[in-house]
Amino acid sequence: MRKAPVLLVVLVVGLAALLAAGCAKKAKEAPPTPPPAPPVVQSPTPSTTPSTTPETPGSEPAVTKGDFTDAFFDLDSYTLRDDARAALDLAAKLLRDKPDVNITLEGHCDERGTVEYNQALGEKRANAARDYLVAAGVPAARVQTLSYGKERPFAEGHDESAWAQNRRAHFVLR
Amino acid sequence: MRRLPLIVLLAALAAPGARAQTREVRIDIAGGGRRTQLYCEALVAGRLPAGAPAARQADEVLAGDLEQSAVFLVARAWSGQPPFDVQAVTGGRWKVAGGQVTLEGEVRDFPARRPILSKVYRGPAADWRSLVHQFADDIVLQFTGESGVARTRIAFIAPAGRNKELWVMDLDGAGARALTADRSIALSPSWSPDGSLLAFSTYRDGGSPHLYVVPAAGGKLFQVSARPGLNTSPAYSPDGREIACTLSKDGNSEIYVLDARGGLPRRLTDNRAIDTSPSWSPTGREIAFTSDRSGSPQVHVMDRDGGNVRRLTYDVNYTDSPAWSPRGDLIAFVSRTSAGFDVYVCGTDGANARLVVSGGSNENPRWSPDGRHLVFASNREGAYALYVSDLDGRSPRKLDTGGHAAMSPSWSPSPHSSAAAVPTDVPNSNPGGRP
Amino acid sequence: MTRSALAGSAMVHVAFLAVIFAVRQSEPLIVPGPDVVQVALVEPGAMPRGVPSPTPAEKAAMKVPDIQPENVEGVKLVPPRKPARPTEPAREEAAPPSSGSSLPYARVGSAGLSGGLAVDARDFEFTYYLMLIRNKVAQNWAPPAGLEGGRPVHAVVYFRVGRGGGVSAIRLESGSGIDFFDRASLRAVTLSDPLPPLPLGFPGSDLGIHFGFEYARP
Repeated sequence: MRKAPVLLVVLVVGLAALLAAGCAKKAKEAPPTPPPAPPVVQSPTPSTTPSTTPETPGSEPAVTKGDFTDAFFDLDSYTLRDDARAALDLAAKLLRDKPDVNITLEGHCDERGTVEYNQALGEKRANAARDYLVAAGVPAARVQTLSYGKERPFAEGHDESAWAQNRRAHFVLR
Repeated sequence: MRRLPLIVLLAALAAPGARAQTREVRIDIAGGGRRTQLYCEALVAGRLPAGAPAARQADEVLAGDLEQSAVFLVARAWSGQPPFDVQAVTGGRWKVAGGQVTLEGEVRDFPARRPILSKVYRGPAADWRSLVHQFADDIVLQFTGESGVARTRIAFIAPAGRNKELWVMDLDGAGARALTADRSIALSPSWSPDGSLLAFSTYRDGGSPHLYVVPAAGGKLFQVSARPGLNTSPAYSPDGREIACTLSKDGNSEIYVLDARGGLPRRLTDNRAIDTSPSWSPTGREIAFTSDRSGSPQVHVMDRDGGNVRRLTYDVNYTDSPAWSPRGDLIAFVSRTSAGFDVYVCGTDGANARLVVSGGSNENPRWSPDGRHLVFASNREGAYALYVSDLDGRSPRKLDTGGHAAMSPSWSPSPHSSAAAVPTDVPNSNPGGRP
Repeated sequence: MTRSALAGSAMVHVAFLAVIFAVRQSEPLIVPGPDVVQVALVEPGAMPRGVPSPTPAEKAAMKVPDIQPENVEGVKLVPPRKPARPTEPAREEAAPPSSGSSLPYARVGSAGLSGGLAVDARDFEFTYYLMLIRNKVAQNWAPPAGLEGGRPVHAVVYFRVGRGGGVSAIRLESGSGIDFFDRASLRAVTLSDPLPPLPLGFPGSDLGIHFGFEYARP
């Protein structure tokens, strides 16, 4: 008769041990910490418009607007500078890794051109950035372009520091 | 022998040919003589019904219109100015009865007061300003041979926070009202030659800018071009049947001509450069436009079919925003400076380029329908506002836009212009969308 | 000479005279009317300030009765702004040539150009209109190249102005002897078409003008 309680204890301890082992195993299978964000290349100023990306459900981390760095341009130019290429390289990688993400590239200009010419120049900047992404393997359908000319400036000043901020191809998540 | 009678004949002819008594009248022409000196006397009004527009208001509108014409130097009797050095006097009678206004307008020379002009204007009392404007335009006609522009209107773009809406107003600032309320960005207005419609470019559809047309009196918007890419810088042809514009649907900004409803696009430029900002010659046979095909933006001229492209001027750097004068003899444009832009004019062959407006940044010059004045936007006093230059070296005068900042102006045609009517049944090619 | 030949010759001459006079009446060439108003345009300061002070009758007419409008509820009376006296900034204009010549000069137009207008009408005293003609034609006149300096040259162009301002019957009335100067003068008149309409108070259907161009290269 005395042996029955010992057996119970052994059973309970055994069960508890099994349970504990199972929990520990589950803990090990929990999702790892999110991967670090891609390294941000130092650019003149970071983009400042607010993010509009909803959280992607599931285990994948959400891509935010902050993950993209805009491509900046020289006065009157739509040629990609080295820093612009670097920003676009990273964007291309991100877009290749995340096939659900689609973007619009907005072309912007500083105030030193006329309204209509800047609408055209902004389009050329956006197109130059898009063509670079397409050449880097991003399907063209995922990259739309739109030009705002000088109508939606990021910086309102009238000096080179403000103008430099406005001459850009700007990433917007769709 | 036979010659003698002939000589007698000639002598007989010569005698009555001798000059009769002449009377010397010496005119003192003071002050350079270019502007006629007018003295505005107050209109005489009897008893006016309650709520009627006062004669003094009509006096001020008339004097303001005459000053703005750049044809006259104006002195006002009701301000106590004496008729000094005056060549002609305006005045008349002002009557209001039964909801109708009657203006009996008179111009007489001075000091003898012989009649130069006498006309009666009648209309609804609510429209009294147009009667006075008509009198002012007739006075300008009497002294120059061409009607004045007091009855014209200005379309412009007014910033509203981050957005820009299309507005229209009388030249003197009265009746300013918004034609769009899209909470988007409207740009580049262009009047139809009969003054009934305004074409413009807008981001209201959410993506790239599209071309729309709106009645100048207000009303529904009609979509004219929503092709992929840019649809910008519309310009009605002088006969109203076509709209030149910039489209980038084929991969690059090029000049196209559409029919007035936006169909049948004809491509005029074919160049990897940016081609934009078309402006028709008054004959409709040529188009001035901006192209950076030579490396930086420069104004060029081409035939209406796109041929015979030539750069307008080599004397000025970075030129843009061409505007062909309705007189056909001058093209206005801007040139970039360290402060922004200055306004120049030159002959249509590019000759005699001269600076006409500087100070601050001055953009979008557009001609009055008589080719005497240029309206433009300038930030010379801080916020952007509209100014008019008379191309005579004097400081431009500011237009009254009711306190709104204003940009991208466009000057309406004269009310009596006889251009072909623009079809008003422009179809709405977006029937399911917003009106 | 036979008598019949003489009579025939006399008849031919009389007929000739009659024809000439008939033609002359319809197209006045020199001076059709009994009076010609000769207008000379004078440099300011060359004569005492010429605006005559108004007669008492005129003064009474100028006085505007101070009528107050009826109760103007709902209509805002705009108080008259005191406009600044328009100041004329120093502008580049054709400088009046320094001269000892007795002929007066006008400031509008090219330096060295002067001249007077004669009008074919009695009592045409709308001096404002003559000044408008003078200003427009002078503005459209460009000095022809190749004239020698010093010696003044003079041409008179005749033309008619219709009620609406249309210019017609342009003709060189008296030449300078220098062909391209005459042509420059004719061109100035042609370019000035149309002139402003004639004043209401002038009853004629058109007006004949003799426009004298005198030019001494400064």
